[in-house]
Amino acid sequence: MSIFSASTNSFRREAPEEKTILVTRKHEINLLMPLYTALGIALIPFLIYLSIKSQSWYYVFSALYWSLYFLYLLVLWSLAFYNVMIYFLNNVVVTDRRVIENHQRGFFNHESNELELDKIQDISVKIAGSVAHFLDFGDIEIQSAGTDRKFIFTRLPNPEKIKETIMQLKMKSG
Amino acid sequence: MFNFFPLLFAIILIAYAWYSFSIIYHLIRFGIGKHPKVLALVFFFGSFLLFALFLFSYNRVDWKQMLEFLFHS
Repeated sequence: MSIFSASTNSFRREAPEEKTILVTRKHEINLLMPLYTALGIALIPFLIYLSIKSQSWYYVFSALYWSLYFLYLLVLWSLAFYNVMIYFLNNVVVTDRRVIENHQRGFFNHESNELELDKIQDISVKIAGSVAHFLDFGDIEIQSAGTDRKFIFTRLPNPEKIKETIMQLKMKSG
Repeated sequence: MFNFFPLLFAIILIAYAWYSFSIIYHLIRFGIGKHPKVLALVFFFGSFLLFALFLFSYNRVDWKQMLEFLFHS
């Protein structure tokens, strides 16, 4: 039953004495848009209630109506928090040794990619569109030395700052 | 005669409990920092409250009155 034991690391597979410098995830707009949509959908039955409450037959069905409404809210609440979970577990961790990309695809379905700082050859930032400029989010592409492998992190907030942080750490590491 | 609905309710309840546990487990175990842990707590209390409200309002449903209204109106 190891799943119930406490983890001593601040993230999965953290090396001993490894220092976490930065943890970032997609811009908040990626989380807030579905949540606002869910909130809008949650209010629809309440608006229906406002239009039917004066009907003569409403009192007969009111208890059933509200029980179904609370069930509906429970389903929406659970789906919203599934999205919250996916949002928070899809992240990029920058440590004093490496850059780690965590992909959570669903329950118990996780993928992790990492790149050591001294293998980073080039980092480029791409900010495309007026919304991205206004909210300051963009894509970061990291090219590693010796391989054709590229790390592409999409829709990260403050991409220039993240790039600077990684470059500074790379300079320090050697 | 075998009543199918309590069994169906139990299956849905177990599936929902597993789903909720998985969300809380992932947020607490794999979330980095304080925010995911706080959100797991918010999810737990919100789910508990909504489930309690559902059960409370469902218990107040007068099926007899509803059926009478439907078939005698």
